[in-house]
Amino acid sequence: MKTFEEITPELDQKLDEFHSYASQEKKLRRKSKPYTVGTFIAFFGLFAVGWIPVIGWIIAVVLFALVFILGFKAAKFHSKSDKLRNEYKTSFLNWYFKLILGEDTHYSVKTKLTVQQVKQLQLFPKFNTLRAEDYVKSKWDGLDFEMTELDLSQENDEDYTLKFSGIFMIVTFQKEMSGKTYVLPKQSRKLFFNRFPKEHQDTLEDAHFHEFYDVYGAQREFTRYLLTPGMMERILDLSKEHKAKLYFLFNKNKLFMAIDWRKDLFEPDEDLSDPMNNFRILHDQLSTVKSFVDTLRDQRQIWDG
Amino acid sequence: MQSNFKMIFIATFLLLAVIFILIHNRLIKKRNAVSYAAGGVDVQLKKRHDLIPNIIASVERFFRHEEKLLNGIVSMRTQAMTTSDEEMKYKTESTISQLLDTLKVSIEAYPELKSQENVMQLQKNLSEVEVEISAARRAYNSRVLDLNNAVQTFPNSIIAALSNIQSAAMFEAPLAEKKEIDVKEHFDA
Repeated sequence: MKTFEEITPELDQKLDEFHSYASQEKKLRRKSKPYTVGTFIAFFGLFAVGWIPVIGWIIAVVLFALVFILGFKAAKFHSKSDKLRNEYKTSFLNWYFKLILGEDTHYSVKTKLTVQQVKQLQLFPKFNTLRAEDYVKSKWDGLDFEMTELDLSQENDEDYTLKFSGIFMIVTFQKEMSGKTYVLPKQSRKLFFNRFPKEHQDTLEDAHFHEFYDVYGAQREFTRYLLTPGMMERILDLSKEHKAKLYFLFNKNKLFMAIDWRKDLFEPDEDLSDPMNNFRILHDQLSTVKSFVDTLRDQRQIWDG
Repeated sequence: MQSNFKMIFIATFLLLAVIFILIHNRLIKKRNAVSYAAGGVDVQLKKRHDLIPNIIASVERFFRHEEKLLNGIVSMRTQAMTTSDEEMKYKTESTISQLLDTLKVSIEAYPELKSQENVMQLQKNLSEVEVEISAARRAYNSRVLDLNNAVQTFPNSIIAALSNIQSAAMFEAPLAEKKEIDVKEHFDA
């Protein structure tokens, strides 16, 4: 993975493109504003004039037509803005991820991840709504790597609870092993209580680690094979460094890892006065993910098969 | 009145019997888990024993002046494979670990040897086995901790004593493993 300093010259050349995108998006938003405001005024006006006899009804019909026309226009501008944003993200992020991670990298705005697939992993607290975007597939030193931004929430008529918001990734190693181990944030214990049999809760030697994380797995050898003292330390460092809850599932030759960052990632911010900082943030987010995978590789020659 | 007393007595007896059976079975399961984990350690140690002759065969040509080190590893391996004394076995295995570490360091000093593919592969396998041994030992210790906690707490302790289920010893890295290794000490005799 290239350092940010290494890619800075190439990013400099992209600044014009970034500014062009940002100004186009700004224009679209500016254009859509009067329509959006007009739609709201006309909508609330409908209620205000309804009590006036005869003439009130005529005005209401006109306002109703206005709501429809202005709303349609505003929606059109929003849709154009979204399209532009997606086009920009596809083109820029595809280029950017290839630049950082190498040519064998593919980016798409949409993810094909389904609620069922994520639920099957049993890695997250109970949720019923999934939003996933920004999908990256790459190869790091022979390891297949997939990553996506993921929001999980529990929604019903009266309530909305965000259960997870961050990055979800899958690393496929070359060595096939048998076993399944979960490492979950301590706070989630109650949320997961019914999911894992009590006898599968495993206590490792690091008491400090267990202040923050619970470990579940039926095969203790497999768990200890992966969670060496160094690895536990690294997980704690990562979660302190990013003030984020981490979720891990080691299953055979796959590592599923989720970082609950509670922030929107990989979004180019058109209002940003310093786009380079935006690029740096993107780079830092990827570096974090990469450094963890490297830790696994460094400590475990076993991944090489 | 007397019949009520009988009923209470029988119910209490049955309840105690059920409790006894449940705790006894749980203790047996924990003891078996310890034996199973110990078997896991043995499997990994056996893997290492099997690797040693290959390693020795690959490096002996280059290590003529370090014959003592190689002989030491071979004799420790034989001792570990033949002894039935568990404590002696652990000590011998620890010595093997230290000697193999010394061997790995020595290999570093021979670039020609280091670059040989089979030596590299053997070193890799050895490192992997060492990781597996460590994981198996840690798993064994965790099973022992479960058993010991169960055996030593009340009322399990009573049932454990009646059933002759005893605490087990944990694997502890001998102090010698933490000290600087004196290779001579192991094969000068």
